[in-house]
Amino acid sequence: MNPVRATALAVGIVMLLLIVVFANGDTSRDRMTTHLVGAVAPAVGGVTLDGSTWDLDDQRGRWVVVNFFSTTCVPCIREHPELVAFAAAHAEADDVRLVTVAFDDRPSAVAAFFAEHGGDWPVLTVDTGRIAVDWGVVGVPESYLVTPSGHVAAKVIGGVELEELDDLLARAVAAIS
Amino acid sequence: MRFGDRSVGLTWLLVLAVVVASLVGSELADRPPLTNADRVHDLAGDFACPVCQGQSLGESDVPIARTIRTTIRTMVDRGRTDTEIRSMLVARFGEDIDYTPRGDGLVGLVWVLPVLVGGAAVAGVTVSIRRWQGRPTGGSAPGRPVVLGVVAVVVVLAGVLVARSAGDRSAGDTLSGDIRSSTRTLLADAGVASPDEAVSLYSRVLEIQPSNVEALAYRGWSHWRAGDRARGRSDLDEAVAVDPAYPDVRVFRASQRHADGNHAGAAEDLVVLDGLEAPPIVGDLLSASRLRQRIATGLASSGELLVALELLDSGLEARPGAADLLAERGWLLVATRSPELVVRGMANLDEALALDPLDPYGLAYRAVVLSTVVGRPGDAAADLAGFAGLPGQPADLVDLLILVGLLDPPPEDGS
Amino acid sequence: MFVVRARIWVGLLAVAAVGQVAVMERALITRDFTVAFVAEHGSHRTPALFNVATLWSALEGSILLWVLILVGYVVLVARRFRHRLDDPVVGWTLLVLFVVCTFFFLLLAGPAHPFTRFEPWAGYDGPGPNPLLQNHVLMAFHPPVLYLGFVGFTVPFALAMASLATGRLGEGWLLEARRWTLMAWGCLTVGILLGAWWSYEVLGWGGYWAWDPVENASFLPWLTGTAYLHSVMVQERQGMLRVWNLSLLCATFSLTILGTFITRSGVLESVHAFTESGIGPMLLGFFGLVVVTTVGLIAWRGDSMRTVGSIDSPVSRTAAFLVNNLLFGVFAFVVLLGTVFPLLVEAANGDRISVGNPYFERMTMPIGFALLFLMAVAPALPWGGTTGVTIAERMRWPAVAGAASMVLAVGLGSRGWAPTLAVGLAGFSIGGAVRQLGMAVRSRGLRGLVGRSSGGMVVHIGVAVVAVAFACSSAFVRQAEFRFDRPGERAVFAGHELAFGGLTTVELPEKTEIRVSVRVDGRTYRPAISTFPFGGQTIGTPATRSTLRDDLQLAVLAVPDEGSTTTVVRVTVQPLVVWLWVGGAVMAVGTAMAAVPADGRRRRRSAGQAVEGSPEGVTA
Repeated sequence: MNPVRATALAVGIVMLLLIVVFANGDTSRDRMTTHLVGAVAPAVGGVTLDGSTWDLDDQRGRWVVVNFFSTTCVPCIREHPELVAFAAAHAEADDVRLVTVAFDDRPSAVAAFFAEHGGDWPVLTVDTGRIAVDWGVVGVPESYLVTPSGHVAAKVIGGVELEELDDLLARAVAAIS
Repeated sequence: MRFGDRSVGLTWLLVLAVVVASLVGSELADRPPLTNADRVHDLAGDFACPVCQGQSLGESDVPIARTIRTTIRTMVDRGRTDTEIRSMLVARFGEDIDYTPRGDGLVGLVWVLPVLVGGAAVAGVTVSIRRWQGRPTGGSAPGRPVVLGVVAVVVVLAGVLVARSAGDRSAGDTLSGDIRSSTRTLLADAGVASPDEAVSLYSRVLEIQPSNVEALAYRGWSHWRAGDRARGRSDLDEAVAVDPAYPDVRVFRASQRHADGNHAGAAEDLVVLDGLEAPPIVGDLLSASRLRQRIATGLASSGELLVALELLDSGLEARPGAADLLAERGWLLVATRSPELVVRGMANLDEALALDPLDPYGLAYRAVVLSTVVGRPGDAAADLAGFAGLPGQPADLVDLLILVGLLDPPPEDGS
Repeated sequence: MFVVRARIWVGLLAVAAVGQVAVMERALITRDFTVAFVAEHGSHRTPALFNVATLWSALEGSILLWVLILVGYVVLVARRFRHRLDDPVVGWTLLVLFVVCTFFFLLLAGPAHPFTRFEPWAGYDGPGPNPLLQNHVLMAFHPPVLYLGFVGFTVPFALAMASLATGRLGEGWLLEARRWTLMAWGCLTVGILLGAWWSYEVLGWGGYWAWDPVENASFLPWLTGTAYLHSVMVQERQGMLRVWNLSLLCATFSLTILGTFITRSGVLESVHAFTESGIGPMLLGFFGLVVVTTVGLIAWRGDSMRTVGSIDSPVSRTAAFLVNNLLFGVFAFVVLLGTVFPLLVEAANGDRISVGNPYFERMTMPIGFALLFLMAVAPALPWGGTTGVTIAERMRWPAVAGAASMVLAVGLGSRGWAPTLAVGLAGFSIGGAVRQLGMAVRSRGLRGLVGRSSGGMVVHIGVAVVAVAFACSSAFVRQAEFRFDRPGERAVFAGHELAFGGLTTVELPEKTEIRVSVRVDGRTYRPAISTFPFGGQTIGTPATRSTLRDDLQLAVLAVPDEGSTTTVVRVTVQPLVVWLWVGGAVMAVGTAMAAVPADGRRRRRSAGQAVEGSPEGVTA
């Protein structure tokens, strides 16, 4: 085979491989994901809406759901009743605690939202940008399930549902014991 | 011509000297110092905005980008190096936030391939030129060594460049290895580690932070459980001394004191604990181990009934619906055999079982009291049946019931 | 017969292309919302000029523009060869052009159909084009000029395919291909620089080139096109590199299709990308077809069209052009590899990585330096070869110029070996180019300034200026954010004094604009931040103060709201930015000069000889 033919065919094959790669390219690239699952949960703490302090490290021994939220995001608003139901379902057994971190939002708006739509769990609104960066949160809503020992068991991007949360919790409990 | 040659040569020599001098001068001369803002600007340009399409952290204006820039600014102000900041970002957001690809692994190919291709192309062009030249005419063509030398220099330069860039960083060294993990991470990991590992993790925390009360308390507890009581005791005492308001150590020390027979001291610790706000794990530990009840029993049997009752009451104040504490209280009162106290004890037992009809201790105690003290075996039978129907029956209660004669001893093995 | 039919088809194409653009523009200007495209991208609030430009602000309209320009080129080709329409080479050329036209019309008939219906309700007003595209007048010029370049490469590609199909390659063909390539290349150069200028003016971060996938997509054909413009001179002079040049032309066109695919398919994230659509697969398929066809033809015909190379000395212009092609080839490889590498890695093991600015800068810097050096030396090299001593003598004064410019740079504040070396090499190049120009004027008077070689020297000067501007503005950029609470507050940055003057809010039909008044060194500038009612987007309008020495750009990051009373302004100071655009203009002028034939004789001869030529087997 003469060199011209060989070179042309080689280039052609490389280009066709490239086409194959492009054809399988994912055009719906979502945001970057974090690698927190399995790692120690980063610190979460601060002053809640009602003035008391709350810190994740004080919750050793309990499962915690950390929910990142904003009043300007529609899926967050849609998932809120699910969280209220979740909190109510677990209130008596007190086996799961819930905390909301309001991200890039005005405290007054968050307070008004919670006042209107219910939810009596701790809500952090101040200096939450730093918490978001620590957790690698790029958009809301995002929810994380934290084990009693302080590690991240699961992560949900987008709005959660009551069943989904309960299912995640059950599986995580089973995985640990 | 010779004169011209010399002046040409001199000119070039001068040019070379000036070039080298300028380059050296540009590197060594005073330059305005790199401010922190400049560093942040450079760093922000080297990372992608996590949510935007194709903009860098510096260009983008979405909230997360601004927040990350603020974080970078803080880290720069605190003196962190570029590598540390890079590791932090990659650990949080994934490798695709870094615009500089890694130098190792499959990704490292992106640095290596152009060098290889470039080298191959240079070789190819050189060979072609040589071939098309046919025989070199006279001395005007440079010899082979020069040509090969040029190729070698090019490839080496390129390789050096690639090596310098490729070895710049790697995303692998994030939170493990030599980079010091925060005490928080160590503590969390110790919580799920085996006892030996846990001890070494806590010791590392204490190296970083000698007065970390959580590490002291939990290391003391780990020592204790492993059998090293002396070390356990000293760690726990030190933890209490460092922070009297730390809840967890109170439970551990109470347990340790109880095991040592120092019931009064144990009771003291638990009463202090009741006044603190403890994390759920502490409460769980207490109720699961029935430490309080055991201390109370110890107190009562050494004649300190009042203290025992105070201990139980303190616990009830903290947790009003604690049926197990009420049951124990009732049991201790009944055990005095004094009629008034027996009545009050029965009332406690009734209250306990009203709160939690399935509490094994409540059922067993009341069964015993009803049958032996008060003399109502019929009611006792109901409680016994309830007790027998429970899925798990604490061994000490079973022994108690056998002792009293309410339960038959299990058949001998081998029959 | 064929001639008449050819004329009819070309005429039909012209009518179709012009007609559809006219119809769409009319719909846009009259805001005819029964057309879905207008309903999605037009608006009563958009100013008039932007309505015309709205055509190419979205996918379907941009394909309309592409088709218009493509058909325009077809008409030009048909007109140019009107006396030779029965020549097989011309026939194949037109055929290939028709096939490409067919593909793009198919796009319009299928996934990118611009004339779908819409039923607007009473009082309906469209959202208008993307606010980022409304901001600047350059939006009206950048895409058309860019397309003149992109689409222009279709013609030399068609000529190359014709040559491969017929096996013929003559001197006339050569001239034609080169001329069309030069024209397309010139437009592409200007188009890319207009795009960079637009990014710079609009995005507010002081950046003009981000090695973004879409930017790279437009740069790749430029690189191979530049390589071709040089190596074709070798073919002209010595008959060598024939198949290589054909391959370069095919590669250039393929890269324009690949670039279009990358821009419109969403496979790679980019700020410039159009919204995703269904045309991705079709473009990819067409790219595959082009690759298969060209590879097939070259594999079949290539060897028989080759000539034996011969070269007299490694120190000759021929060798220099070989090295030139080598460098541009590696350059293109680096850019292509870096652009598609994230996709390759993801396909291989699922990891997601990014390849951005740091990679491209580091890899292309040495290539850039080598090219600058070559640019200086090569014009002084004779074709036949010479000795090192002769070259040293010829380049003596340009070398002095280079050294002097380095000293000047260091004196003016250049720090760091890279920008200083860039200035030195650029000075060296400019010295070499001026020397060549001087020699041309001396031998032919002012007429010596036009023609290919002198035009090329002017282009080289432009490139050197752009290189200096690029190196210095990247190396010495300073940026900071300043927070102002009350009018009158001052700040000092990078040798400039800033004074905050307060805010003004202006309500316009299409947006609400908050203007921040900042006084810089005595003059007032008003960067703004605008909120568009539709979609709630906020877009900044930076203000730029340009002088020959440096640019100061102000961008508003935050304005007071209920949370704070602070206005945050980002200030970017970059030296020598203006020279990027000046250098680009010089390149354009040089290209125009190069297009003028150096003497009348050659002009007459070329029109008559068109694509006549001898079949394969010609030796030097």
